[in-house]
Amino acid sequence: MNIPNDDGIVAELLPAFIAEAEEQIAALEQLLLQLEDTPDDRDLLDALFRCAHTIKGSAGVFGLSRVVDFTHHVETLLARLREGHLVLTPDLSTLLLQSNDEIKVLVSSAQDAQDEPEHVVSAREVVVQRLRAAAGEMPAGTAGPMAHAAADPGFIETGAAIRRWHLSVQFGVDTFAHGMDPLNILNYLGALGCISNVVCDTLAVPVLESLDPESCHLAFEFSLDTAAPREAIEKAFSFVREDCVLRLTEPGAPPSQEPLQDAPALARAGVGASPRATDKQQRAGAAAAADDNGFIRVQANRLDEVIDLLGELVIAGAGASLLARQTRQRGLIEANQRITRLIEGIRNSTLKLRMVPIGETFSRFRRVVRDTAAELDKDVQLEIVGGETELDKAVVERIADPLMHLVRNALDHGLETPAQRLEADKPARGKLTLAACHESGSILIRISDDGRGIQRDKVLQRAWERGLVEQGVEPPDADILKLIFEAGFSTAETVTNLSGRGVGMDVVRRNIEALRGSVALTSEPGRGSCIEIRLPLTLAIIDGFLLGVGASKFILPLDAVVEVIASHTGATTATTVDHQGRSCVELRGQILPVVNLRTLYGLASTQPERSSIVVVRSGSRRYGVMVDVLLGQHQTVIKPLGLMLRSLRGISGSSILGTGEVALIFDVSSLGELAAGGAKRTSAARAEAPPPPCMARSE
Amino acid sequence: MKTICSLPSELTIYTISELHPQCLAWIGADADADNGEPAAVSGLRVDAQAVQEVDAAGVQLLLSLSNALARQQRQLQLLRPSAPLLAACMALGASGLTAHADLSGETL
Repeated sequence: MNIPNDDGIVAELLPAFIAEAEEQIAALEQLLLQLEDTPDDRDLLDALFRCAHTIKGSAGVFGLSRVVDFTHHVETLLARLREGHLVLTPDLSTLLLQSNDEIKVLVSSAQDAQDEPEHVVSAREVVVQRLRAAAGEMPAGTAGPMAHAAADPGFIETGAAIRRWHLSVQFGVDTFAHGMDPLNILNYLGALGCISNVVCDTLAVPVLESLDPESCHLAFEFSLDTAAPREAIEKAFSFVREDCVLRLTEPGAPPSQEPLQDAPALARAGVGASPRATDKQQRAGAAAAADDNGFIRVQANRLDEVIDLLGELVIAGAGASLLARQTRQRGLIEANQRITRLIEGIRNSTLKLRMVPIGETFSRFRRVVRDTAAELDKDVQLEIVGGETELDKAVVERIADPLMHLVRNALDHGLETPAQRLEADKPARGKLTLAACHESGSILIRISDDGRGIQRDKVLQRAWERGLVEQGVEPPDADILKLIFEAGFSTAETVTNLSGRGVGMDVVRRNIEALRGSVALTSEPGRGSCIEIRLPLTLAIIDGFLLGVGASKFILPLDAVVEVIASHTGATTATTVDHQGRSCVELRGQILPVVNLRTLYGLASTQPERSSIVVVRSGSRRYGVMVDVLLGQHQTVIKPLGLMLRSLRGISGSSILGTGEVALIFDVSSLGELAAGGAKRTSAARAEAPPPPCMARSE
Repeated sequence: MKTICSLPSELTIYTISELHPQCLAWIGADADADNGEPAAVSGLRVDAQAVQEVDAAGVQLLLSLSNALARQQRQLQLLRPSAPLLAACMALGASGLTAHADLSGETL
């Protein structure tokens, strides 16, 4: 852009363009990958073409000629595919994917004005040449739309009859304002075939004195010789369809027929009447746009700000209702309850704003799986289940990397080559499944494959070598599998550049745990393995269950609470408590491990006579937490723990109560390990649910 | 004696708002000048050799200018229109604009 006045505006809008273009590029990639499975899908082809067209169009608005030039070639090839002149072959698909990567690079470098290094330019030129060759374009001849079309042999090859269409089009006044250029549309049509007899209704253009130069008063008549069907021609106008009047006359009608003679008059009449007519069209257009595109782009930090404020509001609201209760004035208490309910409503809706479907993240892996499998000579099909499952954007962003690692790991270590698979009586094509679903206040992500599974002996051998487990000691099978999440563990026999750098799985586990999540692994030798990741839905605010032990307050996530049972000190139900606060009770014929918080955290207060056991669910197991008092449901704004407390086991965060007191929030899964787990013999021996040692002692 | 009229290198939606008042000035100024110099009545000569980028909005402005001149019984004469401008006029069926073009290279 060489207009100084516009520089500021462009600089301001460019990030939005880049974000939008990146979405289009991601969509392009997904569509291309989908198209590989169903190469004839018209809708996909149309959508692909629209994506490319949109990128090109908006890049044009920003004067990013490199993007426009390159995308043009992609668009041309897509047009050929769409018209059915070409069929998508794997090679073509790879070329298009590469081109898409190229567009991505171009778009992301749109902000630096510097010239690109020579090798980048020449590498792109190679891709352009391949695109043009694939599209059947002659290497020379971009002189103009007509020369271009004439030089294009594709239409003759296909044998589809070239027919002469007559078009009469009157563009709406807002065409320019919408960023559309009739010249581009005509040029695009020129690529479909050969345009001739273009007549512009020049008299429809107002004289200079009454012209608003930014509104469009153009109307055209022309003939188009093309083999393309009616839809393809109409598609050229798809971006302006809402505010343009298009008349497309069937081929076969002689050129001098009524519409052509009649149309300039019609166009003029149309222009004269344009304020009313286009107003109506505009309204219709706006309504349609609102329906199609019910999204507002909001900056993430603004949303974070709202959520921060909301957190403060929740705390302040709790404080106010506490004070109201102390006054014992009924009206005030009721008013406060109303406010509390409203705050809760706002909280839920605001948090929903941050929720995004995980499918977007999942579908990014299509490309990873495709390319990685090809690199490893494996044939893998990726299946995505539950992509519509929603979770907090922050969680989605932070889970993408660990997921990527797990997917690559499954491809590299888990799935076998087709030959190996056939030998093992399995279909040659491996299957990798990414699934997501909601499960009691958290999201469960499952990565499963039907590969060779995890080789227990190899893992054990490696653990012995690395000193993760004492030589000769054989932990239970479930624990052996968990060893691969230990630091410095890698089972790859040869380090490939995909995985096996030994930095993987423990980092994956740490990242997931940092999100207050957990990861579990199951594997069946020869049949495949499955990794389950549980994550909280949101990182900001939860519904909590407030508990008191002595003077201390604790919060359990409400979703994890199953029931509460009464417990009497000295009653026969409870067994003795060991030094870590662990004991057991019998609950409806089942043993329930119980953790006593007073003992566990060394709280200085005496055990009251009556206490309660809150039964908590964590994954597939249950355990009890012994507390003094139940303080009920509490909207909990999660605050991070200070450095001092971060090493505290079983606790994941803190929250400020209405009274200004601080309550600690339990991490349900790690508290469960404390309640049920055996003493830590090795760092890896985190038993899933072995009988607590105190049981043996008590019997 | 003549107003020097020349089109910028970019004749697109981004520049026409600036160019529009200039065009108005050209017809106004030239019309006044014409009073004194009846010999120049036939046309407004606009140097178009610099135009590198052009879109339909740009062509529309030229059409509008041409229509305004037609009211004064005058013609728009483009001087050495650049290739992009010629191509755009041709593609948009605005050949009337270039019909009187002076391709000779004669300077103003």
